[in-house]
Amino acid sequence: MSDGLVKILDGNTFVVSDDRGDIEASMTDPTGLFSFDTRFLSRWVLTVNGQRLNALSTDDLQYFEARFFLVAGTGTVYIDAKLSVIRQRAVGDGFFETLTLLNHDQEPVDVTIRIEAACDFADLFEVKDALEKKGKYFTNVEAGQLTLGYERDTFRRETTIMASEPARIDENGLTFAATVEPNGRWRTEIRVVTAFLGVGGARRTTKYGSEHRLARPNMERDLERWIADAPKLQCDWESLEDTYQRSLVDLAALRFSPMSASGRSLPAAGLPWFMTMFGRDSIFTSLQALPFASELAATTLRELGERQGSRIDDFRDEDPGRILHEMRYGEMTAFEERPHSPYFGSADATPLYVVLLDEYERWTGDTKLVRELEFEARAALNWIDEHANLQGNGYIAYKRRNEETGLENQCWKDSWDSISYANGELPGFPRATCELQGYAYDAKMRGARLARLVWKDPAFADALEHDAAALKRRFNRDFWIEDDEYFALALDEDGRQVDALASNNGHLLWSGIVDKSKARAVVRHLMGPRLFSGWGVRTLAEGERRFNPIGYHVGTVWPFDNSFIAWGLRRYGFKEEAAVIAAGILEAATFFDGRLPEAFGGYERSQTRYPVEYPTSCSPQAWSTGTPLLLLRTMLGLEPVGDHLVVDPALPQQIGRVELLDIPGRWGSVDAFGRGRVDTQARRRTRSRSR
Amino acid sequence: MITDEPSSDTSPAEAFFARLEAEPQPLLGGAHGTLRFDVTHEKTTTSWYVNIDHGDVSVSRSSAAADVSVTLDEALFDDVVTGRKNSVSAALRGELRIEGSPQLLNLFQRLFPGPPGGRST
Repeated sequence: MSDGLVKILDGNTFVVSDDRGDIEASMTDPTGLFSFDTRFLSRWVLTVNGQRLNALSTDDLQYFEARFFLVAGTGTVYIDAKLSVIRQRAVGDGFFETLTLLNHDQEPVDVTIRIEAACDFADLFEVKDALEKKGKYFTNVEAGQLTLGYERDTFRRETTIMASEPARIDENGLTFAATVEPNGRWRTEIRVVTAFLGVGGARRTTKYGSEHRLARPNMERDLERWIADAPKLQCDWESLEDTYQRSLVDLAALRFSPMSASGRSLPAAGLPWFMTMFGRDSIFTSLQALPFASELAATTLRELGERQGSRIDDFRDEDPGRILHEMRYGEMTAFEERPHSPYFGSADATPLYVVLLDEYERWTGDTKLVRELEFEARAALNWIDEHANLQGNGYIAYKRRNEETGLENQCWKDSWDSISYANGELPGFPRATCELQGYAYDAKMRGARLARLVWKDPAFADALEHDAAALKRRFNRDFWIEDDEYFALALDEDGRQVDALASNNGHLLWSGIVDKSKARAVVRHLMGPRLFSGWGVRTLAEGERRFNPIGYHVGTVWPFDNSFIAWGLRRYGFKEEAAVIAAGILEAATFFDGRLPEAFGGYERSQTRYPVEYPTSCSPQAWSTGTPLLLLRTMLGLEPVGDHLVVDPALPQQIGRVELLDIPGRWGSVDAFGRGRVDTQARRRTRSRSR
Repeated sequence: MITDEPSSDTSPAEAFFARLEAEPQPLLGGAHGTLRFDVTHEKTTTSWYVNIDHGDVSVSRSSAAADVSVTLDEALFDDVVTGRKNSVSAALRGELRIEGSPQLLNLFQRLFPGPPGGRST
């Protein structure tokens, strides 16, 4: 990996170490063993005869497993390679580590192997913000195991370390004394277990059970099954096949199983900071993955529904019917120094929840789940009208009530300067960004379909459709900038247009709120030189006062954003334009070995020739991982219609022949075939001539 | 069943459960199962046994086995049922001992009120 760190993970448990497998974390960097937003090991250093080891090579075997080939000695010139060490590590409720020493000499050798262990039990938020701890630490050495612990009032977290071979254990680690025969080997298995403890020391059970001290989960088989269950892609564009494989494996890695989900998973948002349930990220990723792994959507809908807001709570920005933004499990959340138990400050997750429920039914025909979640879906629809209408004009708007630790921008562009006028000024609150109105429109239309089809409530369906039509009329009047022919980014607190040109226009196409007569003008902007970089659509148009090609939400290109824009282009019949965007993003992916970053620079493609990764972006990130999947869907024109899957391909030329086999859904399993006919390069050239 | 009329010396827990029993709870429309709250005060434990049948809630004083049981201190429980403390963050602090189905508890937690003085919008 480019940063020299080795990362392995399973859901929200992950280990980040150096290329020797060692961990020497400071308070401010995200290395260590983490689980449920808490660091459970901040020091884990292996020595042999008092010496640190050198890495000969490191294999990332799977996302949950790595192997380090090491030799003793830190000399830069000469390494005594008569003794080598293989360190193999797999995540699972902490981690399992197998140490194997190989003696390559003709003489037996006595060795002292030592593992130093320590932990600061930092909350991920503390690592991010470099904050001080308020509780106290303890250490227990007993019956062949070392326990590191942290306690603050009733809050207690522990890390227990045990080994299969006899060890001398002290408060700072484990020491093994071994004799390795000529050409022989010595081996021990070490297990590191994380625990949080409740009243009276009751242990929260770990996933794999404590009775089998060294039992391992069978993650290998699980991954094989996951890949086998997904549709198979074959095409002439080899790098697309690689990107597709990478996406499937990364998506498997990002699966997170909340304690209440009985082993089912939903997509967490990204490594390392966002390995938890997010309303927006989990929903968008589930939408992207629907044709490939619809069970992610089912779990997302269930888990978010279960935790839907039910009361007014200003600290958590909670309202009845609101879908959560982010759930956290660490110390700062526990002591209400952060509001994430869960935090609800998102204005889009709630309408998107209804959108996902409907799209899920269209693919799977699972009306049972739609019936089960009727209350939640109705409450979400009700939230739009009852709790989000902060400007009193019928639009969704947001303004945080938790002014200390809540989020200012509650749309997907959630950084402080993402919503601006063309002249760079920032509007006041409440803000009604345009894409939120699109999501609301779509939620009402889709809610109406479900009401008619599943809930058998035609009156409610009629009312929703009536509301949606009125919203669409108003929106096309109030947000449309007549002179420049695009939709304003937002309405400010006085209901005036926030007039910057931004990628949000693409999400409007996706939602269907755009009048047909306005679509062509919107597409002209999306594909025009101010927004389209040659790789993809920029978050903010060149020429706006705050535009910066490496500004987080003010000029970079977000793969996820583009995948929904492509979907929107298809919705309005702009197939070839959708293919141009798909080609640009998928070509960019080849520069990142098939793993699209969260965002990359919005520089003109002809200027840099390769996409410049945004400096501190999160990787793998769920909705970037889902992007190639949604792009495949849009390029192949996959659309469920009744009990059938319609295939209507518009593919970039370089794909050649493509087949996606065994697409699961209510139709059973269907194959899609296509041939690349869209000359995306020529279309890009036309665009640059129009500058 | 709780038959006592709420009076001035009604505890917060009694008042809370009486309200739940009084009318159907749409927030629990999709839920069915049993919960038990074991509320401890010094050496004594008061057990509240809650039966949920798709929105209809009935409560009794019983320590019978339930789908999920929650053990917590009386002062905390009083705070939770009056919205002064949040049950999820209390669980993360280790102040609740939870055994059994977390789904049912997640759903039931919807019924705990928000903090007093919250601003509706």
